[in-house]
Amino acid sequence: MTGFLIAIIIGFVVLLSRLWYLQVIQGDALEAKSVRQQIREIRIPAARGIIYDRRHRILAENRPSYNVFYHPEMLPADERVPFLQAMCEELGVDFEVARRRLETGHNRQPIKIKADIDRAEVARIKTQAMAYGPKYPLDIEVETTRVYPPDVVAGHVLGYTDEIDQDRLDLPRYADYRPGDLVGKTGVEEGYEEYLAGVYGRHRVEVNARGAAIRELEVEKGLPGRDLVLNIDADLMKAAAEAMEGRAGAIVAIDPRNGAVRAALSTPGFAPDLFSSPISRETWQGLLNDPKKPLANKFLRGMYPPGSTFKVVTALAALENGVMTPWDVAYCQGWWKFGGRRFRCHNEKGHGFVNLQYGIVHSCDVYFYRMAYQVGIDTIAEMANRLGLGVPVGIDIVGEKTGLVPTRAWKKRVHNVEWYPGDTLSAGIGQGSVLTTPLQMAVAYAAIANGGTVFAPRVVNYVEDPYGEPLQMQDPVVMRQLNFKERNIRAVQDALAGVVNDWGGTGKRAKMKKVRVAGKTGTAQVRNMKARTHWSLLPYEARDHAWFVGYAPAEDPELVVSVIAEHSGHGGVYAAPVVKAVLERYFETRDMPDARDVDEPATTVAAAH
Amino acid sequence: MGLLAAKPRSPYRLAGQAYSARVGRGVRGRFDFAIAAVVAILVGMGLMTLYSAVMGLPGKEALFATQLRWVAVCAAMMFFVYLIDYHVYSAAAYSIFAVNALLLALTLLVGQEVKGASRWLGIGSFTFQPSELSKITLVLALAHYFANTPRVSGYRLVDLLPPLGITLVPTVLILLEPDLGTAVLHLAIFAAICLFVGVRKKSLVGAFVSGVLALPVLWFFVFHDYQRARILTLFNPEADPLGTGYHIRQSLIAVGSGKMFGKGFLDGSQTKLQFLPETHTDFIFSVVAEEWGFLGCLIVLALFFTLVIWGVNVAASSKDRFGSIAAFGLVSILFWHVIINVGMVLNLLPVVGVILPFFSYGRTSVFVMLCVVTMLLNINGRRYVFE
Repeated sequence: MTGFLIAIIIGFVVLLSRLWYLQVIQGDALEAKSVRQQIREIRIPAARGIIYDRRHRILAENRPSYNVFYHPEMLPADERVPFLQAMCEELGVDFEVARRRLETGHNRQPIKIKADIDRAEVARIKTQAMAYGPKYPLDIEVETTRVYPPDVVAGHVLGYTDEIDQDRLDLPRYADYRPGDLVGKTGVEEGYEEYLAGVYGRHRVEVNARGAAIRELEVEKGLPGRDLVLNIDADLMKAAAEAMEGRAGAIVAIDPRNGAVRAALSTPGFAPDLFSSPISRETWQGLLNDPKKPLANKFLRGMYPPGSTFKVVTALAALENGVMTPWDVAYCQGWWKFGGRRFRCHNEKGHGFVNLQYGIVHSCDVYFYRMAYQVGIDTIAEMANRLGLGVPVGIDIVGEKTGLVPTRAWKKRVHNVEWYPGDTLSAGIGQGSVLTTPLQMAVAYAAIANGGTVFAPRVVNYVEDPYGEPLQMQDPVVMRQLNFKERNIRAVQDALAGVVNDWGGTGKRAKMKKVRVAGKTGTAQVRNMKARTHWSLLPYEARDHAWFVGYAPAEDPELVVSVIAEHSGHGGVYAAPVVKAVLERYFETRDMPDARDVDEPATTVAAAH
Repeated sequence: MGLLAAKPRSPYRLAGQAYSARVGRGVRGRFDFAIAAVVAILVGMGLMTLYSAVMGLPGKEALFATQLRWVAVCAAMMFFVYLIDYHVYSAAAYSIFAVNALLLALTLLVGQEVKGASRWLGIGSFTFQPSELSKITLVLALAHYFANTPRVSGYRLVDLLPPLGITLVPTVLILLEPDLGTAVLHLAIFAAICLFVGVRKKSLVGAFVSGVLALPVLWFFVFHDYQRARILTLFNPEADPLGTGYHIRQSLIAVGSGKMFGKGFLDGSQTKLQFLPETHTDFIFSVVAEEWGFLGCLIVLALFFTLVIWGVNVAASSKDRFGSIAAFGLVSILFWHVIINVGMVLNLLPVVGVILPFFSYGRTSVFVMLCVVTMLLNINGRRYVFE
């Protein structure tokens, strides 16, 4: 009997000791676990700031989007992939994309498998979830997505929003971001992320075992993002897109009086909501392999030989350094034999006696060969840098390329070869190693147009406060004052006006009836051709780039337009009409009122009823 | 034995013997009110805990009222269970056992399946679990057998074969349902009774060795996958926190977060937020632990301890061999239920479906546990009744 008693006592003592261990010794730790699994922090995305053009027309706004999230942890490990596959088939999304996300994602992190589903799909998933029970691994969350007006193709300048990637998460700038948050990528969306993003709100809620919120513990209100008013003009964007229809290239329009970017376009564009949902590998490969490179931001990052548009730089270098005067004359016989090699002019028959005006108007290569030879490469490079070529122009969106203006030191450093005088000749007419972006050419010509002030281009005009007033007005940013001699800059400006308006000028296709246009053509060789071949006989990749950089009115410039049409042929033929189209639209719409001033009375009336 | 020796406690009790000629008369005076009070407290605490466990659970709130009504019905039935002399049970032991075995077989054939196991037998809207009743019928049958085949120098292994056969009939039937916990409980009851009636030392060693040898056979041929998984979970509850280990992990969090004084009645967040499943049946002790803390658990276990010690005392002091063995078997039912259930909640034992007496929801189990206690009171009350 005693044996039984002892056994019974041991049994109960073991239970009590275990209880003591769990409740008294481990109590605090287990209590913490209990609290942790009951509280969930829900982050409420802030509405992203709206982006307006200069006249308060919407370029990017938000609308709610129903996104499907997959919670793999709800399923046993071996069912996760098959379930995902079934769901992808049902939702019609690429299974491979989703599986990559599943494999690379953190285990506890829900995976967005489809964005922006329609009402019917929402209803279907909700029904399935109810039939399945509490552990249904699909979940619908309402987030916002960007919507863009369909008629303005501004994807490259605006950028896009997408889930934040790991590279960004590692940066201190994105310290407050979590995986899955939307973030601006490229363009204005990235450059002004700190204003647009707003501040996430936080809900701390008590949840039950099914993850359903039982009661709210704490609410931290978020702040919506700030609205931006850009300098971009939607009308000019549209005009540029129409004029560039079917061509690859870029357009930048800048107000030479303050550096405001009125249009910035890279063609072909892509639908700005392309990145709102996961895209399939085929679509992505298709975009990457397209010879016209729709994803590349050509106005900001496309580096092209500037061709004859660079001649004004050579001219200003020569004039400002006193090497030549505008009246000095050179003789063009169609080529210049230099260093045992024949440097050809584009006019085989030769231009005869050529001064600065005639040289620019007819784009005589021999005249500028001689000029470049006399000035020297380093002086040309210095002038180019002062104008904003080969250096950052300081635009307020990220990712600009600096281009390349060669010098003796550069060639020695990079290629470890001495500089040949012949290199100077090529560089003097914008060939050889010289590379510029369309944006840089616009900045340089803006400085020439306004008489010598280099402005940093500004895409964003101002950030709005919640009342629609400017939060901070941005003054034009002056990068450099070039202090040209009046005589020299005037001579160049007159020559540029002559390109469009003089008889036989290369840019006559940019001529407008009411406004005097000035500008310079450029036909940049992509490959060094031994013989002259008509462009239509060449493969697409080998055809010349067509440049035209122009401004108007010639006497008191308001808008500089820089255009490159890739592999299109002669600049005066294929790029000049585009500049003309943009300038025409500018003068048509110049005095239009601000969209807010037009809309506001109407909304007031509507609200009164 | 001295510790357990019962002494007549009051003159009133002695006087009661005068009425003992007819069934039922003499036992009224010997009704152990103290133990009845212990049981009443346990039942009361059980109802409170059940209330807390089911309140706020959609679809389960009605269970409390059902249990309350059923406790009242059973209490009335216990009146008769107490009044009938336990020797009547002895005489009918084999018949009751046979009927129960038939019911178990019937359950296998036409039972209602819940979560993959058919454990319930329904008559109209009334359902019950023959496997719960089976424990008492087994005790009665074993007590009847051992009472009639006394061995002065202890039982040999061969002598234990017939009672083992008796035990295996319900055990195998229950294992087929499948209900591992209850089947194991039957074997535990058999083992307890064997130890009580006395087995020769050599035979004991032999039985132990054959038991150990049987374990691998059970593991590989008898156990289901989920049963193996549960046993493995015992050693590593964190292995699959959302799968097999979920119950036990949440149970440990509930128990531990109760700390010394508990979160208070109806304030157990683990229960209320439904992290803890099955709180109204097998895991109800974790609700006690969460809401009443270590002190509450101490009180509940002390009450059960009192009950068990008292039961052993009843077995030791019963006037006849059947009463003694039956009392011990009955108290072993109580003891095993408490130890296995609480041990399972505290992750000392694998998760098997064994309820906590007086706490867990379940009509059959309430009836059976009240029967166990009433029969003990019955045996206790008739200690001094000589007919």
